[in-house]
Amino acid sequence: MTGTALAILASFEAVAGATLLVLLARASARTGAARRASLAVQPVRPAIQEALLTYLTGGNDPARLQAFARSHRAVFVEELLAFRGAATGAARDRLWGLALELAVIHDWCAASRSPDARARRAGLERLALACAHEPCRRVAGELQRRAMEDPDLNVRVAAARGLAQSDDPQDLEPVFLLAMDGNLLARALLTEALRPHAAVLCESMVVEILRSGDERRVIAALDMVIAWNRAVPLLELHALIAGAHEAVRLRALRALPLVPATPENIAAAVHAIADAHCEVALEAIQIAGRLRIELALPDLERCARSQAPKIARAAADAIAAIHHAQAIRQGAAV
Amino acid sequence: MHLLFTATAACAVTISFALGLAGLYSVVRGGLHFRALMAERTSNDHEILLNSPLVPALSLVASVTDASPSALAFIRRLLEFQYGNHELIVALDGLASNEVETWKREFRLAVSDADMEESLPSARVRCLYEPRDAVPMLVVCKEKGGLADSLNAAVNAARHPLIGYVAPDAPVRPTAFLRLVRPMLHDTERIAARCDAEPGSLGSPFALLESLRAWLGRRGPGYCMLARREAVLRADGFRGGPAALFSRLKPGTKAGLARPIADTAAWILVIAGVVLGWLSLEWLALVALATIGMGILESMTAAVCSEAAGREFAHPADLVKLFLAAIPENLGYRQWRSLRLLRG
Repeated sequence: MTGTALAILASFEAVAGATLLVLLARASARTGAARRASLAVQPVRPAIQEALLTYLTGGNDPARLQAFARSHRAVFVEELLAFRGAATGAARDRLWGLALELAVIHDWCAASRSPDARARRAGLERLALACAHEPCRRVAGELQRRAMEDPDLNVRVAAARGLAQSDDPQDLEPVFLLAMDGNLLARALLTEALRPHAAVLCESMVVEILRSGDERRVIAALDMVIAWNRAVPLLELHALIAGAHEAVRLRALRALPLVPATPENIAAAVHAIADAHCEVALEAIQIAGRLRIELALPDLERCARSQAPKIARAAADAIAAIHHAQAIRQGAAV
Repeated sequence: MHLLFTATAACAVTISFALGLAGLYSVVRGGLHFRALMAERTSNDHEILLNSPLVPALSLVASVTDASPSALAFIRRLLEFQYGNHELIVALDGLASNEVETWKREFRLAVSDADMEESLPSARVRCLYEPRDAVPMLVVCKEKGGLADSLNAAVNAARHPLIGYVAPDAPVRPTAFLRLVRPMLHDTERIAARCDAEPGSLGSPFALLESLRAWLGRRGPGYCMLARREAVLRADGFRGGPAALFSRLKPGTKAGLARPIADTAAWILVIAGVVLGWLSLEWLALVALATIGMGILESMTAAVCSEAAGREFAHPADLVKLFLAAIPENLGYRQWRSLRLLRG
């Protein structure tokens, strides 16, 4: 019995040890290759940086850059990407124009068609950066549209970030819907990508979603609107403030300063001061103070006597803000 | 008696082997996890997350027990952390009045009228302070109560939905929380996340192997932690250290002493059995394979996996040396460390 156990254990450890030796050989080979590559590019890197800098500041020596792009492509691409943060305006156009001319963009297009999701994502993320330049958008646009059907969410988000820079409003719809339906990380990234189109979206798709009654999407759309801090032509926000779901009520109150101050919207905010949910009531009190809603004064005075210190303090602050606004108005009238 | 002893020894050896196998599995899993993380790492969304109002706000909590230069430097370092909407809550744990004066002077503190809940038990709070400058910081001056008590007081004063903690000696980057929040954005049901720093150059290869095993097996000290405030309140806050809270929030991440205990027990039982003549010499080989053999495999795996997980070795020989160091490490050093651990 002991002998059998010993044999099994020894065999297991021998197999595991042999596997580890193979893995060690591969890891050592990788480390050696990385070391050799690092040593080889060390003297070239400053020359590539200098050549790129000269080109971006108006110099014109494409032959030298073409030679670097051929001989040290990976380092060349690394340096090209490193310059993107510093390059703006005409320099940025020159940078991405160069990437297009030297077929770097085409490399990324090829990567975005890879069977490996990580490679597709990396390719599309780089293409999204290059899409700040219109000719790159023309090359990558169709690929990005197709990638919006990718089974991997991260790949879709990478494609959407590029597509969000499109001038075609039709391209914005799938990006906006992905922001609605993706996870919070996707929404955070795409909300920023869609910021330049916020005004257009707030007049069309956002309003449709807010009227849809789909709670999950309504919450997502309100989050995006609040993040953009853009006006939304939504007259019936009061319906959301009076809604059944507290997360919707809370966000609708936060969005109140961004919608027209109709009597219904104001009345809904005042009504929300008495909301059973403490966080919603607190938000309503703060909004009443921020928007100087005089109609809310009786409710605020009641809240100022509340046993809950947070509510009482917020109500006192709101009352002070409203009275301050009244005093300024009266002073101006005198 | 003889049979009972043999069965007990067999149990101890089996448990020891099973724990060794679990350790090996956790190192491999950690290696794959870090490799995937490395592949997912993107360089161009940090700034977006930094500025996005959709990323949940963070209350970074810290506790200090004096006004020493190191304590002041620690808090200054925390103020340099990069995160969109965040605040720093510092609990001054039982400081004398002259020490409080030092804090007030160093950070230009004035008495604050901020609200503070009493959701978690903590020693009496004397006063709240905040800087006169526009620094998102709140200082809770309280009676002495220890680390857990102070962190509870800080959580009570926190206003944001996420609670962050950084160990005073943690070698973490100021962007750590922007990375740490990502899994919580991926999955809004996730209640906690933590990170351990990748071991640097620790001099001794044995110490490096030990740190790599802990890092890959995610059994490290927990340099940096993030948890939802609601979950911290539901778990009744900090009772032991921050790592203990994390273990309660995410069961299964506890370091534990099970393996040193099982290994030591297996050796004692087998040696005693052999000396008494109840067990054959084969048992010694069996226990050696179950403890030392599995230990060597785990350390070698940690060395190989660390390379796959992105650790850079200056020369291939460094990797080979570390790999081979797993053999002497498990022939004395690790057993000595286990005994020290058991003695506390």
